[in-house]
Amino acid sequence: MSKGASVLSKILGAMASEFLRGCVVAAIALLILAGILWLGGDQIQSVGDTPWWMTDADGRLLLETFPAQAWKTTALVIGALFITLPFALLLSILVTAQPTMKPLRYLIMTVSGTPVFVLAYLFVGSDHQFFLAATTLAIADLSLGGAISVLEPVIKREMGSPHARAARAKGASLVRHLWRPVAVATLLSLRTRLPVLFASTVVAERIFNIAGLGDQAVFSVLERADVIFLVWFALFTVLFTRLALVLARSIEAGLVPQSRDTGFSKTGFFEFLQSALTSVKKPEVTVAIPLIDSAKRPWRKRQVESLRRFFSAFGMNSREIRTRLSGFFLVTPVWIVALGVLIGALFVKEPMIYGDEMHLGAFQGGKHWLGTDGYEEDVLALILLGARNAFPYWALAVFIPTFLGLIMGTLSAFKSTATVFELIMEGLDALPKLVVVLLTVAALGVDRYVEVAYPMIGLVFAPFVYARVRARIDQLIRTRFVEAEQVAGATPARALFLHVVWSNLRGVVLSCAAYVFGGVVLLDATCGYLQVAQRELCAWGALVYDGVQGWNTRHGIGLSFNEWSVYAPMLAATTMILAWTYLGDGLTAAFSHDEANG
Amino acid sequence: MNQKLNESALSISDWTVRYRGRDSDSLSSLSLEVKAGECVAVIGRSGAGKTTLLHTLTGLNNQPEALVAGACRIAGADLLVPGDFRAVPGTAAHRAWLLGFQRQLFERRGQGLFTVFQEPRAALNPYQTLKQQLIEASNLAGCDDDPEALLAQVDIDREFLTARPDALSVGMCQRVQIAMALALRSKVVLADEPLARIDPRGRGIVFDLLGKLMAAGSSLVLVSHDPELVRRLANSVVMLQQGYAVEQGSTEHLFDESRSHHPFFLSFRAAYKKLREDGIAWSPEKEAMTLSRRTESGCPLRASCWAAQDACETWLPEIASKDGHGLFCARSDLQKVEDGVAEALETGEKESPTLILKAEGLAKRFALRRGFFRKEVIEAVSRASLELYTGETVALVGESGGGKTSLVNMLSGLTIPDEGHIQDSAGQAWPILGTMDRREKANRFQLVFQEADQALNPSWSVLESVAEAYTMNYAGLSQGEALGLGTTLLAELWLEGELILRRPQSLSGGERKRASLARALAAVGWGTELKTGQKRQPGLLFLDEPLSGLDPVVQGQCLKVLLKSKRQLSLSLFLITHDLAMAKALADRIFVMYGGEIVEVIGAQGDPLRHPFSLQLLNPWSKAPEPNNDAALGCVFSPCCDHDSRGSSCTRQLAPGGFLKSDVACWAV
Repeated sequence: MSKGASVLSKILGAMASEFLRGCVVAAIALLILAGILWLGGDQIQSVGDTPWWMTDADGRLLLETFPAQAWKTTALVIGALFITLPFALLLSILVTAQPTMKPLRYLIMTVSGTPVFVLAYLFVGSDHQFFLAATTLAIADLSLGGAISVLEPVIKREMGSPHARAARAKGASLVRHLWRPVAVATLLSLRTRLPVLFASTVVAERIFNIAGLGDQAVFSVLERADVIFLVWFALFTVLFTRLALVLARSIEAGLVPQSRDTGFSKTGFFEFLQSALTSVKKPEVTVAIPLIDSAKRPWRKRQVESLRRFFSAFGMNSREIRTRLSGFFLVTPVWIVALGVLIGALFVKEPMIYGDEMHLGAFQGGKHWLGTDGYEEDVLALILLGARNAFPYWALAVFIPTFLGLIMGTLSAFKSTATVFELIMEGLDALPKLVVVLLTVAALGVDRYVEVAYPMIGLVFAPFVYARVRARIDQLIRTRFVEAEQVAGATPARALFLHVVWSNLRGVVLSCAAYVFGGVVLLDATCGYLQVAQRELCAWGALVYDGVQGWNTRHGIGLSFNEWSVYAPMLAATTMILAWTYLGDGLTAAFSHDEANG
Repeated sequence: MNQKLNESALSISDWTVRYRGRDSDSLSSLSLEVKAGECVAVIGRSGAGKTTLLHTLTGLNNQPEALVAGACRIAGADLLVPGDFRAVPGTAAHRAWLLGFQRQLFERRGQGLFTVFQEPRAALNPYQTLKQQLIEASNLAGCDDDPEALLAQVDIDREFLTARPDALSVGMCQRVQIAMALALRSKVVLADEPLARIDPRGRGIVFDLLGKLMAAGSSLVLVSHDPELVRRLANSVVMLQQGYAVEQGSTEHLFDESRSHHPFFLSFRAAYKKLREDGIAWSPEKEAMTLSRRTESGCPLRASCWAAQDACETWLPEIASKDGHGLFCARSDLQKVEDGVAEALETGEKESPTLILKAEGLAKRFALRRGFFRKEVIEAVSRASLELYTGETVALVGESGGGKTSLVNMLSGLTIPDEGHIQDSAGQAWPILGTMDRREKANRFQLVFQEADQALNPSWSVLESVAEAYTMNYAGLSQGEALGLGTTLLAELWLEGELILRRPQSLSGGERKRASLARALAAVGWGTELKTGQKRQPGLLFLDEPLSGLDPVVQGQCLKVLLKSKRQLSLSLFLITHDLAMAKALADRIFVMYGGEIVEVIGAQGDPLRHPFSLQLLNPWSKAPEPNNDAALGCVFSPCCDHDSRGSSCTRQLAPGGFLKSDVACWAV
């Protein structure tokens, strides 16, 4: 076989393999969506002769309206991708090649950590709404930050690889030697980027008045419980993402010689089928760059080590942070505010029911520290109450994916059920998180937000934890120390639980829990902003929405307005998201002692 | 001085490096000069400063914490290095200087300075063909060489021109690196252990090519642990110890036993020689330092020097230079290691041996699918039969990929043979991972993995890993006692102080190997007799290349501990190694393995090797023949055989299992 034919065979094989896997993942995603519909079965009714799954809540054929909306949303997402990926690539290269640029990274993560409904208000009202909506999507909801955290480790790994060092020894350009793996990693990051962007369109389109799928989705939940439309939206996202991945895989097969050989010429059909479904790719490692390199620190006493871990988790004991005050001032205030909110929530007066005249008064001692909102309610008290009401549910929503991810990740590494777990998790991960939560609320009833939405908010983060646990276990299994421990006398149970789970997964699970906490707050705040959460919860997103409405109304009739009723909940949501994300970074750093430092 | 610098391809003087946070220099006032077409070898123990020298010369490892001072001239151009390097590190001024320094090095890489890496396959770009990589190297030198001709210079067939590195053997990848140096016309080539990862049979050709590189005008800075390679290739030698150049001069002078030398060089040379020539594991008593243990006044190295005297306390440290030979020592009268300063342990007198295990006709196959209907089976081990007895040391030698590790995995019970069976002395099926009690199993049978960096828990310090081996297997030991024993055992292997509290990733490869060895010895009960009072049963320790990558002195110390433990704990040793000379010195019996088959077994230490493959292994400096794929199949070694009397018999397959005692699987012998 000629070289050209061989490459073509490899590309076709990769495309077919990814297509096959995409079909299975889409089928699983459909099953998950069907399961949600089944739970709230009484919401679905057929109208006329058209099948129920082809019509919206008004009985209109979805095929008539959906394509136009999908076109707008897809254009928005692609526009956002064209902003996110080049910027993420450029910034990742800059930060990796020049360590003094680390503060820039913190700054970007901070801006990127703001929710769409916060960042969008910087742009709304200006011209070029479509471009600004795409820019918002590209940055907010950790879109840019997430892309950087995927690409940065890849670039760091490739720049430190022996062949890159050898290229430098020759005096050759690194761009020439490294563009392929970096380009492939960028393309493959679409698997996680696209669902995030599609989910974020729900808020962006609403704020920027773009009549796409996202805008329609909010209308579907609040006005009509149009679950079929939401299913179509979710499935469209899955199919679009998988098609993009087919393209990415074919490019990978053409560019990277040692990529998985899926050519029909090299494998039998059953092996081909098997390889398409199993371990197509290791979970993408998106562990953020550590704030400190703890491996370079000398050993200290255990107590000191524990203290170091504790403080470094807050980014407070890092040499980088100490030497670069910008980083210190960025991270520490975030946690001071976040802790202030959480501690304040414990002491806020009871009862504080939204709209209760008893509590139109002040937070403490008759003084309105942040003023009052349009209903003459104390803004600070509402924020603290929102935190207290939601905190137990946030904790529950964090526990669910952490527990599931740990169990499934561990089992999938050791048991023959690995493929099933992997496909289920990939199916769930392919769905846009916010749309799945909205669908669940729409299917099971908006009035049951607390009991329905929070478990689902947690569940959608299970693939995130699973991928990291699995990646860590795969990394450990590739080494031989589990085998070596058994040879040295450890029982299999001891080797698994003491040496693998306790010693080596603690940090992964803790940092994942912190990251998930940030994600849960973001999703919950977004639901609040979309008015899906019950008003009594005082959700921060809902406070922002109310504040904005009040701002518009009162300014319209020339009345004065307390801007803090908008800024304060925005600030609370953003700092809480950032605080947990930074804690995740810090925990990752504190436990990342496995990097080579020989 | 200037005139002299002009003649040199590389010249450094007063090269001093200090890392931030350290209270002593990692390299102290090192001066060396490499003339065009010559080779300077840098030798020394782990942590002596060899890697620091390479890193600061190449600038390939970003080391913002390193401060460098001194004068350096590469390929006729001076590097700008500040005189006062003790500026505050981490400041903007220091960073700016570092950037400038790195930029200067960047400009000199390639044509000026090239590096041949220790891991040749990893050093080649996996995404590019050899042709692309060679053309790039040639273009960087401003030339337009024919890549085919470049490959021919390093004895690689043109059919590999469009291949990528994963299609090449490790030795061939190293040859491609040399071809790149030739294409770049590099003035100075830094070679970091260039033969360390290469099979014995491939070493000869790379050795020849290094000579060819020098003949083409390149200067070579060779970093190596191997005294034999240094003796054969280098024009001059620099020995480093704790950052000091303790001895430097011409190779003839340093390897001349009638002249006086530095104590550290004497121990380095003696450890190598005694092991290979006399079969004695030797190391000096006092040289057990691992990290910088310097003294403020007098000779800074005297605390760890076996030859230290009172005069060393008042000596003013300086290099005494005479006839181009520099010696950093207060004593200039030492010609050999002093008698009585070290304990020489021979393998000891044997008790009447009893059988531990017997393997017959072992085979292990791995299947690879090569199409819809075609499946290719690779036989990693075939027809392997052997017996192991109590108290003996058995060595298994052969090439990488020859099936040694697969065989040991079967013998140690980690994998199950596809054919054949293994029995213990009572004729029962070998129960290592079967029904035997976990503790008994761990106490009696241990395996030291080849991949020492992967065999230790990455989250635990090495002391914790070693102590755990005690607490898991010896119920009578408290945690404190286990930590104490672990500390003592690691100190025996020259791992002590802060090192044993580090995690494996923070240790060098050699240190990890010793930690891995310590854990295996802890599991078999090193030092526990007095504390637990348990009676020991004969045990078996499988050692998969336990000493590769260690310098001769540390090798000697590890072997001393191993042989002592063998005697005290009634152990048998099953040693896998590439080094046939070491195997001949240590082992009671040697199994030579090629292509998955045991091709020769020799019994007593004096028995001569006869198989053509064994003879090739025994002389790694000669160029082994390239495989002749047209050779008729039969004998597994036939395609690579250079035996004079090779004949038609070689097309016949040998009968299985005929080599349990002294024997050789060759028709022509």
